[in-house]
Amino acid sequence: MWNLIRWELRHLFSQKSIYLLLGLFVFFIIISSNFIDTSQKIVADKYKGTITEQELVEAQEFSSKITDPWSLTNEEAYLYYTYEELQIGANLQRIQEEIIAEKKVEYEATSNSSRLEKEINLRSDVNTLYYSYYHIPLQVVDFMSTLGFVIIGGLLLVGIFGMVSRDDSTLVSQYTLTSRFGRTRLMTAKLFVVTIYTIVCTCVITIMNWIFQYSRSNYWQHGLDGWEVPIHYFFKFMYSPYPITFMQYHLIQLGILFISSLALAVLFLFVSTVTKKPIVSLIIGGAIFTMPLFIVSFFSLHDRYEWVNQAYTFTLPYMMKVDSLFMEFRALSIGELHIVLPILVIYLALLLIILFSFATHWYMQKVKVI
Amino acid sequence: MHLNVQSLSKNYKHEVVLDNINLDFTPGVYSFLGANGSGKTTLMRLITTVLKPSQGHIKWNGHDIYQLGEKYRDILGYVPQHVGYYPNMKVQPFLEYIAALKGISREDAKEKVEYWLKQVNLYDQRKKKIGKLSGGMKQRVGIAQAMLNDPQILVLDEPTAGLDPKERIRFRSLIANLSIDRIVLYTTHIASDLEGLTDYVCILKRGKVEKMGRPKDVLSELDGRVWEVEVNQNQLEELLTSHHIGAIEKHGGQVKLRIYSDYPLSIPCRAVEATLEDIYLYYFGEGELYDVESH
Repeated sequence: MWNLIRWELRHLFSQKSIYLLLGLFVFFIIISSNFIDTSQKIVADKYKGTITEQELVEAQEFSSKITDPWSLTNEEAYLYYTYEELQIGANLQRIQEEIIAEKKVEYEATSNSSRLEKEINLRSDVNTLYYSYYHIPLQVVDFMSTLGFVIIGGLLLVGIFGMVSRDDSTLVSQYTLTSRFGRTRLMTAKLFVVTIYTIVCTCVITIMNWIFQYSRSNYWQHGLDGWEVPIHYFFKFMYSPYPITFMQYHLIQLGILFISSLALAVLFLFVSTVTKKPIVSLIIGGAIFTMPLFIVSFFSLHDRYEWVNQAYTFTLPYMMKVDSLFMEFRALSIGELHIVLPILVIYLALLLIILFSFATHWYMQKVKVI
Repeated sequence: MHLNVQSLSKNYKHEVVLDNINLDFTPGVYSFLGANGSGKTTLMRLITTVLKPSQGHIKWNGHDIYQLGEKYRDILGYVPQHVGYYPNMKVQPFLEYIAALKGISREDAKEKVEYWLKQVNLYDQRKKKIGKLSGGMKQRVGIAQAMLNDPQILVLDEPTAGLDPKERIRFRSLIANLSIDRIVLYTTHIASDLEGLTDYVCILKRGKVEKMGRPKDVLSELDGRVWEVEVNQNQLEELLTSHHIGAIEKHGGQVKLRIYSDYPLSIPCRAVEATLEDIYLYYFGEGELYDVESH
């Protein structure tokens, strides 16, 4: 088995297209990126910790005095932004409290309310009245759900689409299908290699993201703070019911990204197994990955059709994107059991991995012919 | 060592490619002769499990080969008609990869690959990319990969197609050496490749077994039916339209013909001994040879 894994790793990582694609992504990211000015941190550090009423009053007074924000000195501007962020923290807490109040009304009005109870309990633990300079953690987290997952998806597609279909097009499958392990252990080896490749892709892009975000700030040390700030400071999570910090979110994000990427990778392998031409495998795999992104991010069909809105978070690219799982409270209720969306998606990804692993094995053993 | 084909049929949609084939194989060289589309390659692909039958069974020592799975493929060597390879892979690593697919350990694989590279006279080419090799060399890579697991069943599907005469002779000698104590199934439409090599001849025609037996028995079917005549160019034109013609050789102004006829001809002629090439041409007339589609 290890011998086969070694060979499959060699085949996979000897594909120049992987490095070419990674190089292209890196090139475009570098030329389109800009410098992050973290000078504000020196001022923001004075307000690190729990946001007090006194600070909010100071912030209010300072803001009311500003008539022309463009005329501020650098020091004043840093203070202005810091006060603004303190006020955002207070507003985020108010938003949570308002939602909790609404939910409590609903809770009292409904008989079957354990689902609401769960949401209220979650939101009750949210505390956005904590501040620290958080801009580098925000960039790190944002990159993974904007470009990071796209690069990983692209690398998985380019690396895996030809993994079996290329054997058909080069006629090598004449040997694989007639050899002792060609229909059995070879597929286990390929699945193992796909898992290793997914780990490598996720790690490479994660480390690349850290290096990239930290290297484009004035002082990389400025990025060490802010990981303990609630995720709600990132505007897309302002209504999130989950009481988690940037650090917790980033770890969960990487976990869900990896498991969803693995599901996508196994699906790509399955497509490669059932198609005989690599180009067909590439087109189908590409469609699986890009169609949901086009439907939602480009054509915004989720705004027009409720079922699209309900379904898109369960597509693999949006599972890899992760952010839409944490924006609002969604859960699958089975009686008194409420499985929240992020957990549900992990189960779904595991299910897909198992399903397509078995399907790939079954197809190779029982169906595959030349 | 017994391979048994029972009531085997293969259909593609509504087209019958193999129709109720029954064959028994014990150690020896079995040659399958047939025109393009006669079902030779389909039969070999069924025996090598790269295709599934529409009906019937193939049994190895009494067990269904599809049920045996790994166990059956462990005793199988297959040299396909078109040798497949990864274009950028070199000869030695490619054979080592096939050895891994066959479940041979890395240590044994190195030894076996070197042995077979020497046997097929490719040792000096081992560091070359397969894509850069000649057709004959690629076929020898095909043989080497098939032999790595010392197979009890060796399937050769038109292995000499596209080879020049010198390479075909070399290839025939190689197969003769490999054929001891195994079942060798050899398909070809070049009958002369089989002379002195084959133990049994099987003639497939339109998906059915037309004739099966030892070469001398099959050849004896044509006793008194192969005639040789010498004619001039004008007579040739007439004979071509009125008789079943085999090989034609030119000798100066005269033309020497082999004619297949159940009765002596009305022109001066002499009965000659049939060859495997005659068998092939006798069973597959010109129309038969070129009219059927290939699968």
